[in-house]
Amino acid sequence: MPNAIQTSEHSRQGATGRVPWHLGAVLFASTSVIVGVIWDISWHRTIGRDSFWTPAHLAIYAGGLAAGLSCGWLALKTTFSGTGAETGRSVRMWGFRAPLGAWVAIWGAIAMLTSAPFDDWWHNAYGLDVEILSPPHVVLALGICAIQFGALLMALSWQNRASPRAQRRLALAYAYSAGLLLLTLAVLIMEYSMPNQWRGPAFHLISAGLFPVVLFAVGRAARLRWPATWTALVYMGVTLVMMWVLPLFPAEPLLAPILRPVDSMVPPEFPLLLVAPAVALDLLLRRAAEPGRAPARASADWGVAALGAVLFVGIFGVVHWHFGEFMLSEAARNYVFQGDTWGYFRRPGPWQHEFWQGDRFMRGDLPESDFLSRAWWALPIGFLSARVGLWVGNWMLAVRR
Amino acid sequence: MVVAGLYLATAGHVGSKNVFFAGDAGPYPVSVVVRPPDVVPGLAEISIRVPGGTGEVERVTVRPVRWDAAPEGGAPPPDRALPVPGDPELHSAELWLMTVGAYRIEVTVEGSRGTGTASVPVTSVMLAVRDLPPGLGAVLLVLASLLLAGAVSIAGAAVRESRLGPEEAIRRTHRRRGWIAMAGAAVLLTAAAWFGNAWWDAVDRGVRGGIFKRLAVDAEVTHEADGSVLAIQITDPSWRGWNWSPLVPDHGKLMHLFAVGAPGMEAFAHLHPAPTDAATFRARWPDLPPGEYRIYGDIVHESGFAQTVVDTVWVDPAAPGDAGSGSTPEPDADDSWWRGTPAPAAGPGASTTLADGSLLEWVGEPELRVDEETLLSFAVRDPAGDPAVLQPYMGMISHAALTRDDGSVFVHLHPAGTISMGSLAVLAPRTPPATDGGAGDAAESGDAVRGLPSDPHGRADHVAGAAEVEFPYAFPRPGEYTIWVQVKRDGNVLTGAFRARVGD
Repeated sequence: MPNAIQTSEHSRQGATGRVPWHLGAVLFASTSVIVGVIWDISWHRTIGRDSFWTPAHLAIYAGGLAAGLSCGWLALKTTFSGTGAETGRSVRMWGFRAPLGAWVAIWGAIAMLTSAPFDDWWHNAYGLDVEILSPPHVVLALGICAIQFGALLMALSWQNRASPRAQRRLALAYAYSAGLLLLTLAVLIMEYSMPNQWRGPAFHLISAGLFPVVLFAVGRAARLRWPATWTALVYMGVTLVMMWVLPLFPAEPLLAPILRPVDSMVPPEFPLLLVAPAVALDLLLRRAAEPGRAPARASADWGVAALGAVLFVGIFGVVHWHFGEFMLSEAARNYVFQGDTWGYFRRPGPWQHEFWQGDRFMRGDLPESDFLSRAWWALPIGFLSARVGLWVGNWMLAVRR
Repeated sequence: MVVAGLYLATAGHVGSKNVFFAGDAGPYPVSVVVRPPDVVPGLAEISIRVPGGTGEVERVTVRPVRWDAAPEGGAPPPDRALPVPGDPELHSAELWLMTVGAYRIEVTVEGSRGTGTASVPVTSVMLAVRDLPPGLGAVLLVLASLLLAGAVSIAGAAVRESRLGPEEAIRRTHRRRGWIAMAGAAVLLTAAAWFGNAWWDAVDRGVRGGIFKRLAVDAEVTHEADGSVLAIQITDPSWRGWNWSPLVPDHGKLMHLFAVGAPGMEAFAHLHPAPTDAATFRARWPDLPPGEYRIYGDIVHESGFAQTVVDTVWVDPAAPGDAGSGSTPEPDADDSWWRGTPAPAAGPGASTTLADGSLLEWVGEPELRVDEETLLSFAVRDPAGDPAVLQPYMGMISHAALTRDDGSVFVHLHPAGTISMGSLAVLAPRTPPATDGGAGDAAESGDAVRGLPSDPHGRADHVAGAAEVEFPYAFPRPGEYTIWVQVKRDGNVLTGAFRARVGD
């Protein structure tokens, strides 16, 4: 009766709700890489000079290693001595078997490995880069995102297989992995999302394209009452912890030219207030369908996406329009909000307390009419993003391997 | 590594990017070599020799200061230069140069004689872009192919079987959807790879566009009724735009121009054209034979950024009929020229007779090797054979110019090294940096360089009245060179020329 044994083993593992060790390993990997990246950005804004062995780099490598080794081992184990249940929750690739999320995480680890010699050569050929976005860094970012997405898929399949009693913990693991992915996306657009840019159209267009897809996918697929809210809170929470912890460490720049005094680690900016639109999205999604279910009529999702886009763009826009004013004011220049903190290579000037229409060199307030005449594009972009998010979320509802 | 255009792309001098400096860090004589990186931001290698410092030097530090750094806190804390094992006088360090432009490297020596600092001007420029080594290119290609194939397969597996239950079999429709997903992923990823490649190309073009190019100039010699004129015009379009900056004098002159008679090296001039407008310099052309001349003009920008502009002129024989209507500028009092045959014996040991009958003798190491630091030393004797008494020539006890026969290297040297005195004047700190004198020692600092009449330590052999001059240098390429050495005696500038062979 092999089938019966498999089924009982399967339900037993799902029923405990315990986070399996390899899911723990990839969640650790996902956390470690993004903490390392934020730490590294702080390092470059504060100290400037780095080596292969900085602690920030080690945190990134540790994440890559944890993901690659744990998932690689899982693939070998499942392929060569997997139990029926383990085989039953795996997909086949190039003759090997492992859960889908493990394959994605392994791909991410290989991408990270590829970026290392590429980036090293890049620095030798073109000079040490001071920008976040360069081709080797994009390969690294793809690897990091893949590790995080792999963790998300593994948490998702465990949630989807779990008994109702055990589901909550695994659903929270899923929301946690999604929050980390959201954080990585936010870091990638960091150069376009400073508080000074919150009254420029570009920030709103980029945000409308990037964030709804994650919030709607998780909002649909996570078996929680407040999935998008949890996801946004994870993003904000990890950012806040980094923002509050990093400045506790004294440090000084080691590269010339030093254009402003810096005496402790420069923290990341205050997180975006994604929790505000996320609460509204959760309420909307719950009206459309039960948590963890697609709506009875598939076409209803077009309306959900449209209304969701209006809610996201409206709430996100209004909140940041006003919160931006606070972040640029004297009141935000303290430990709690860390307003007005800049890397040593930024020459001090009035620009730091002004809104920028585009970048640092196009300063001054954009008239509201000009802003709206360009920022309304956030609505169709947000709609597309939300619709894709719902498709992904519906697909995720059934991922079990 | 393939380094493109390295020998052409150097700012000050031509084909010789390393900086040699001889001077004093307070109470310590130092000789410093800075090897700037080819790419910026990049690491400069710095070596500091403290002759006679064995046992007395406790610590040597180096620090890069950009020309526009704030006096307080505009530069990072100094880095320690570590002693080089096996050579107690030598210390070395690596420093990041983060931007292009003019820097000074502060070299500070601490020890039993107290503390002192010397400033070495360095122009940081982008010199080259390294090409991808074939081995690494192959490794990256394999990894990229693996990633692309892996991503396509993962997309297929995700659609084909990730939503199946534990015992559910893969059906034909699942397989078909899997294939469609793989095809879609392949198209998307190919497009992404194409976009990534286009991006890489764009970055590469941008960086190559940032490789330093010396200002384009057009030099011409014309014959006027009362003499001949060398006119140099800066024709570079950037000079009329973003790249313009006031020039600052070096030894009191806005341009030091060297003309080398090619290919025989039998004529040489050191002239000082004066500006007639923002882009034109004119000098009286001396009585030199007609033919081809290579022109090298040293200028220093306001920031302390030194560069050498280069051109070639063909000088026609002067004919009575072609006298133009223009006027000829007055010759500069410090202009000097030479015609003759370089002393034929290649390298040290050779000697040549100067115009006033005195003898210039090349002393020192008999062999010259590429990239080997050396002191090019010359002794001057009066016609009676006694050590000659020298006078300063434009603030220096001696000047030298050397060029490789094919023109790929040209350097203007002083006893203080290859540094531009104009850059030093701009970049040197206006107030001496704070120093920490040892017990009972008065800390000394400043920017003393060797060969200046005001040499603070009055080393007899380096100041006015000395009969021996020396220039720190390392030849960047093997080959045949000509060296012109200029000294001043009894009010006359005297030039002697030597041939030199530099071995591998």
